Amino acid sequence: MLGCETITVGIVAYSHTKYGKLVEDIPTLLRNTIEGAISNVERGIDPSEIDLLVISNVDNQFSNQHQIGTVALRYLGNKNAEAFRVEAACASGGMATYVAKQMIESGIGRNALVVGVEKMTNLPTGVTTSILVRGGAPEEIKYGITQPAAYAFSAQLYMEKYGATDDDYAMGAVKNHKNAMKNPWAQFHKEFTVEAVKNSTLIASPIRLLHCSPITDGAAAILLSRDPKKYTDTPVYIRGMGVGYDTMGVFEREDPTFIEATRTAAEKAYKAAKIEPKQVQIAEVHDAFSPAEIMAYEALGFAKKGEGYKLLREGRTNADGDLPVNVSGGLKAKGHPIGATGVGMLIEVYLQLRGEAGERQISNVERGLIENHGGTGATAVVTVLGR
Amino acid sequence: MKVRLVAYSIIHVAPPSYQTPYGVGMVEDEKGERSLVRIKPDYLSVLKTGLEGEIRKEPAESEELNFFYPK
Repeated sequence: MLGCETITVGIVAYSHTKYGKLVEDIPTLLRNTIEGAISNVERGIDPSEIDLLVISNVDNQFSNQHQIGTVALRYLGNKNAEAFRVEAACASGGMATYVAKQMIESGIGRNALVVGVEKMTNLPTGVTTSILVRGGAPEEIKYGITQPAAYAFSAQLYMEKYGATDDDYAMGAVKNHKNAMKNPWAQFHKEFTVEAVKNSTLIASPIRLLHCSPITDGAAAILLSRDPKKYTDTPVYIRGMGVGYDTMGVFEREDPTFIEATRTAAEKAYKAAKIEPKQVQIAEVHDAFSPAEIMAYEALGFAKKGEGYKLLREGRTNADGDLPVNVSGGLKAKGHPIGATGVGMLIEVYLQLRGEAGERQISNVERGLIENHGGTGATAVVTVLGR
Repeated sequence: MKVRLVAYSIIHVAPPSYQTPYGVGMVEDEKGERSLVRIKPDYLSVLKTGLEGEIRKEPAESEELNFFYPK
């Protein structure tokens, strides 16, 4: 065991595949991503220095593989590392990072490689839908309530309670598709109008096709270190991180229009980072379905309850607004390879903080936030990154 | 049992074992207890939040479920 003095875990390297329909299988994605992250360490790292290999992967019916941690270990080059999988539905990437950070802070390891990976496009859409249903409460699964239908309950109630409209839900999708045009990793490079979103195919009323994040293959990795300056001059630090939970079922929640798990996680992250919501300069939030982005604004304290949609109306969360959200294109347009998603969201803010986000770079970013939630908000992980 | 429809959705894309479209809903009974219901295609055109109705247990894909019948 290492000492338990106060340390600040930093991100020192990353690797990220394109999101979309990929030809590579799971072992190849793991190998490429692990080797990519190691080779990207600016001052170099010997694999023997990486004590932990944490894999975020949601469903082994997608990957067709058990013991995926041990499969990944063969590509690390250090058979003495501890390797395992973390699963929390769509929040898996955030949760795997949280576990790795906690283990480093506890002195269990010096450096941890967190790898998110999912291969979703190789199954028929109906089968994929039936796998994704498992992210809901047992009762929702029994009643055939798909993920978009569970979000539909929240979206419908939110409109009735606060006066948001179909236009508001469409605006989030339009914004994120526009942002994705500048992201070479994004699954979609195509813009849509509000009218196109409103007229797209109904999936589970009022949720339409163009409110939904897509089915995606992809992988992403970040290397966490307890001694970041050993590996890079410009690490990005995890200033605060929190997890939160709510009931599995939307129907069980006192207020189905509010993501309480995100509020709880954010409260912990803000406290650890010693900041308030207004100090966040950029955010990546979990827009698995467009209404969820609006609800995340409120749970994160960016807007009062019932006023999240006004941020979109006023353009405040556009790339040129005062609080850019989902500059990457979000889950909606960048893509949503569920195990990789949370890790990929962290990489976007990491790049923004280092000034390496290319055409989508926001100027002078010193502090950013990532909100990654699972199911319809039963599990949430919120992270504050800073330079 | 008398209930009120709190929220609902008409599902058009579902796993292969389901025949679409079908309705699902969140209902509240007189004690304020919430539960889930299935809604048959015959009633999808009349759905609105606040609609009152009753629950009947009936066979579904693999087991009995609560179905919502508008009043």
